[in-house]
Amino acid sequence: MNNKWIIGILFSMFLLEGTVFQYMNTDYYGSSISIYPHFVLGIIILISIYLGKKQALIWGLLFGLLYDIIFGRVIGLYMIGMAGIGYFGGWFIQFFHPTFSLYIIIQFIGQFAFEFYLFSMLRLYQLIQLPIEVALTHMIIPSTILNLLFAIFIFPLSRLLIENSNE
Amino acid sequence: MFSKIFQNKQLIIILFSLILLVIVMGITIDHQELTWPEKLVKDTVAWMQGFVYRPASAVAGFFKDVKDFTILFEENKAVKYSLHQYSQVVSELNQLKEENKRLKEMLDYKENNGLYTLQVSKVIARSPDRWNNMLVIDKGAKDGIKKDMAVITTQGLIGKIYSVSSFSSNVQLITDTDRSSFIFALIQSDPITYGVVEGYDKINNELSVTKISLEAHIKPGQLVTTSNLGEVFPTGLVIGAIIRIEEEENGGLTKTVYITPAADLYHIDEVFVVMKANNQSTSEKEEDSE
Repeated sequence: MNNKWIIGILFSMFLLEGTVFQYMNTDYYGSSISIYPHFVLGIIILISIYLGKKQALIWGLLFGLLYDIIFGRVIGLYMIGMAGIGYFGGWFIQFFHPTFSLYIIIQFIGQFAFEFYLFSMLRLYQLIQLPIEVALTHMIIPSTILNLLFAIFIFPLSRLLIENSNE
Repeated sequence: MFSKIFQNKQLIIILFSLILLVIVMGITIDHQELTWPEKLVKDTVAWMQGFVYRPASAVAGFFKDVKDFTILFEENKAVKYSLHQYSQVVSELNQLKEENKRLKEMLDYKENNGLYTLQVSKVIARSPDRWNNMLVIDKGAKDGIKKDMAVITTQGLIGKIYSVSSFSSNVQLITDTDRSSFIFALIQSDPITYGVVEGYDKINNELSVTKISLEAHIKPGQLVTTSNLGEVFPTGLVIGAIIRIEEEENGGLTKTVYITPAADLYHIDEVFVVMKANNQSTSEKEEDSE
């Protein structure tokens, strides 16, 4: 799996998040709970675990910037966040042997930290005015659960990444 | 001890990137004019998003149609009932129009028809998270869209143009409440009162309108529309209806009312950009003199 494939997968996930997934979201059907898909981040964490932290850092910077330009109100928020989470995943796994359970733990920490980071930074700059309890129960925790399900779904991709890195 | 810290390259990089983040966020926070690389990226991605969104919306529309089919009978009944009243309303409207015309002639009022020019536009993407409530639409500067234009659906106001690229632009929804984005509102009470829309309660789906004077005669059910006091929006775009009033906020100096948005803010497929409302200043004057 070379870089072209990685770009293709990440970019198609990026497109799906903003378009197709919006029709499957819970608030489209009138629920007050919103689920935020972070499929791109899920794949970046996967890359950080199986291809190394430097790769994840670069993909995080690139796709984070794309989010900032297209959907964001400030530049740099997603960019540093995604790169940081990707780098953290790769750094954490250095001390252990990557197993499935460890993969899930890192995905969980990464997704939760990213969502919380976005919330707190936007709150700091007063771009949102939400109480933290509402943000946690209605957005952050449901989104983390959805993204964990997605993380389990994409786990088979790790085999492709390992085979590629051994070559 | 300090020399040891400075030898740790990773730590230095992390520190500097954090500082850089804060600086870049601070600089770009009020920056809504796009530079050309941003426009290029935006237009390219918007073009691709359009390809994905259209079939998706068609599929979603089909399922919605099936769902709607079950409530069609009830709806038909209600529509027939309201149709009976319609003819009466039309006659009343004509009567009022005549009267309005006559009164305007008496006032020597120069009218060039205060209707809005609307630009129909398709939504091609929505920000995946709701921290930023952004819609990407498929019309841009080439179609004459400018920053801060009001954006409505058939139900009511949904937001304003946040940034414009050549072939696409971003719409910021009214639920986004940052420092620079209040909307001046007009409450159709008797006499008319003004307020500022700021703040959205996600759980109850309520917008709050603040800074209403204590003397205002407001009641639940009255309509809240935009006002051109802020010189951003034209007057008369429906925002929502009042559901409850809180008298004692801000130390009892002003009132706050809560309104439900008229437009469904999560179910948006097609929007209209309000291009130009003619003759706003004169119509506002007339309202004041009433």
